[in-house]
Amino acid sequence: MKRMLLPIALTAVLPAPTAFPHAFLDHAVPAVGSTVAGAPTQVELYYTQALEPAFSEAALTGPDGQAITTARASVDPQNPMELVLKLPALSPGHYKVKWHVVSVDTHRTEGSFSFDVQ
Amino acid sequence: MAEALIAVRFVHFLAAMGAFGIGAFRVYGLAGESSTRQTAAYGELLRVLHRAMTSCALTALLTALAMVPCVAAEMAGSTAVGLDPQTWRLVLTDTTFGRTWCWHIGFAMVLLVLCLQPPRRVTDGAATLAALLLLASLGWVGHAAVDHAGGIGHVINQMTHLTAAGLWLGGLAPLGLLLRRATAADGMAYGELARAVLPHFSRVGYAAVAMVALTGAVNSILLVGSVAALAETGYGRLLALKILLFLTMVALALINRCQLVPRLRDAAAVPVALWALYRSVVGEQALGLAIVAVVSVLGTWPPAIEAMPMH
Repeated sequence: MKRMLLPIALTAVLPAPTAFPHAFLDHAVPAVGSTVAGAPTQVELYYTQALEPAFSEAALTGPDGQAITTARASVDPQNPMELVLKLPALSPGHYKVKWHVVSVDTHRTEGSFSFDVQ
Repeated sequence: MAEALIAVRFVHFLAAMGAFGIGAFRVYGLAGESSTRQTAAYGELLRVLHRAMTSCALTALLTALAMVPCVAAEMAGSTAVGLDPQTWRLVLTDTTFGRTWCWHIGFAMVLLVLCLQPPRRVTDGAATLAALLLLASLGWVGHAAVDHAGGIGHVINQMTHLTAAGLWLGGLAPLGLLLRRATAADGMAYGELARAVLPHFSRVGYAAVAMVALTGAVNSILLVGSVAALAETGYGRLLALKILLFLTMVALALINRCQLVPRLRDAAAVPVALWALYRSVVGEQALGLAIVAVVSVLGTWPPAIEAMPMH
């Protein structure tokens, strides 16, 4: 078990590393499942890893389940871990964001969440 | 396409390690052997190794190209979109993986062109260097390349890991070829060559195994993070299997080094010892194949460090 001893010993003395090689949704604005007063102008999705802009997208569906036309979601030039979806004027109701992203290590992840506009 | 990606990765790793292992074997194992250089066996072995390295180079290039639609399908989440040349272009020009992969494909092309030249000292050396670049550049894609916490250190560690693994596992291919000929009925001349080459292989093997273990340990810490994650996540358990296979290989190699190689000094014991050594090297090759198969799957799974609570 010679090879195991070194990682075990080093794990004990090193601080916990903070590498996240796949992109999972860390948090969003508006927050996942939240109710916001007033229509937001954009949805910000924050991930645990830098994204590939060419393969990362998000889409919005409205209270009636219809897709809402938006510009293509873009990766923030200042923060490669943030995807921004600009929104048109939203009326009160329940909205769902569906996203799929590719992290810079080529792995694809996808998911969805909802928020309500009062 | 996930299965295709794993299969293509498996063959690509083998070809890249084989090319470098053979190229390096010619340098450390055969180039200095002045005592046996004039023999027909020496010339024939060089020709066989040249053909084997060329096959590895061709396979490495074809699988490097085949990786593009496989990765494109993974990124697009659709096999149909992944097979569209437009998507290939997007992957190669607009993603971190693709920009590195263009270099990687370039190294594979240079390697193949050099392997297709008539054997000469200069082109052989250059081909070994191209194989080194091909293998090491694999460390620039994948989990190590995007680890911001590990940074450039993790990439260099991964490159060293790949190079050392290629030196050892890849070197088992030419060693196996030589020992197979040495154990044939008319293999006396190859037997003499094997006796001359084996001490060189052992010395390089020691250094390579030590380097594989050290860089592998650093990788384990960066991608698994804790002993608990090694036992409790799928990634950790698969890595534990890889470590177990590695340790079994090391045990076999130590038996070779300590029990079989010394017997080669006694001329009467040589045929039996060569047979035992050949069987053992085939066993090591099988374990090496299993390790590369595990690695091919590991690269497509999320590392354990993501699945475990960080604090």
